[in-house]
Amino acid sequence: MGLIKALGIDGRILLAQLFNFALLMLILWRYAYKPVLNILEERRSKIEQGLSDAEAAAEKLKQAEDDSRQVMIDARKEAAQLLEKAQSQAELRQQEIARKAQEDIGIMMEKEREKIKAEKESVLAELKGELSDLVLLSLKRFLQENVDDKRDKESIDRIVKDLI
Amino acid sequence: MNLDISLSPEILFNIFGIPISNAFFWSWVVTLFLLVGAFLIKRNLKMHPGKFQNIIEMLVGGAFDFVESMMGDKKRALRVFPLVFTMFFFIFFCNLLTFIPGQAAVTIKTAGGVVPLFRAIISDYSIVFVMTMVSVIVTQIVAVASMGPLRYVGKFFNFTSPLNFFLGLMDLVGELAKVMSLSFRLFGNIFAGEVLGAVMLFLFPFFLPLPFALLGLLTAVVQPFVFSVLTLVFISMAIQPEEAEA
Repeated sequence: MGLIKALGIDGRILLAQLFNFALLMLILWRYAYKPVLNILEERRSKIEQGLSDAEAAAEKLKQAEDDSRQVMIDARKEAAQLLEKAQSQAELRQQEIARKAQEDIGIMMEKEREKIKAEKESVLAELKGELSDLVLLSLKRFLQENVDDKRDKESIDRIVKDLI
Repeated sequence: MNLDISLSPEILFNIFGIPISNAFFWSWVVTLFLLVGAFLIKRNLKMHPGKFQNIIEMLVGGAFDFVESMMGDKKRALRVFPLVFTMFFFIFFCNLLTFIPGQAAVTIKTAGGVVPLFRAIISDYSIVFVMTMVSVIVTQIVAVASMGPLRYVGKFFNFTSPLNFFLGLMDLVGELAKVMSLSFRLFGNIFAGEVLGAVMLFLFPFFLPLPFALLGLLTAVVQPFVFSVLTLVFISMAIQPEEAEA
């Protein structure tokens, strides 16, 4: 009992101190620790969220890049295919045109040839007619002027001789 | 000039017949200060912290991480954290209050004579005793809750062998001794520091008290830490008695 008195311990004071301490603990818990811990937790989760978001964004970016690259590759391939197709078609068409042109040329040449031939024939026939007339005329004239018996005889002989 | 050293706190005045000692009075002041601080913190918390909030967050967050590492479980840590951290915080601020200079010079005239107005709060045994009892009783409650009442009683009264019976009794003595060791460690350190400071001031008031004041500052930080960590250890041991014994 002496020690208790020396230390100044009083039951009522102890109760008051207990109340004091409990109140302090409750209020501090409610108004200081909890909000601070909550805000720490909130911030931590926000940072985590931000990090995972950034990771997802990076992943998405990479995906988009890959996609665009793939699209480019596809487009290039398609273009190359188209070009090739167009080229082959053009070639085919060119060949067709050339062939047709050759054909046309052949036909035309044939026609021309025939035309020339016909013309030649007609010219020849005309020439023949005119020539024979000329020969006949010149022969007649020659004969009228220069033919005497002797000469007649000589020419007849020569012709006969030639014929024989 | 005479040197008055009193083990018990001096009575300042009476309210409804209850003697209010200087230490008790200042404990209320510290409590009020912390309460107001808590309200201010709560009101000014922001997602983007300023310097002050950074310090508070570091303190509370760091202390919580420490408690969590001791308890090994976030849920348990949340339950004991308010108790142990309030112990630390309250004792720490009580100790800091003694470093406001000029305290020893202020006295007040009361019915019981002239008494000093200020006294280190923790050098009042009653406040230390209350906190110690809270610590020890909470420990026992946790032990009963985690082991069950039968096993809890069985820990102290073990009749399987004479040796176990003896060890059980020793455990009981150990639990009671916790009250003494925990409370007198804190009270003794602070009270001794106060007495030492007063004696040095009495012997030679210039320069001589300074190293002792610095030593007292160290004590002011270390003792609350020891007190709260011991409480934490007791509680965590009460939760996992097998692991603690192994």
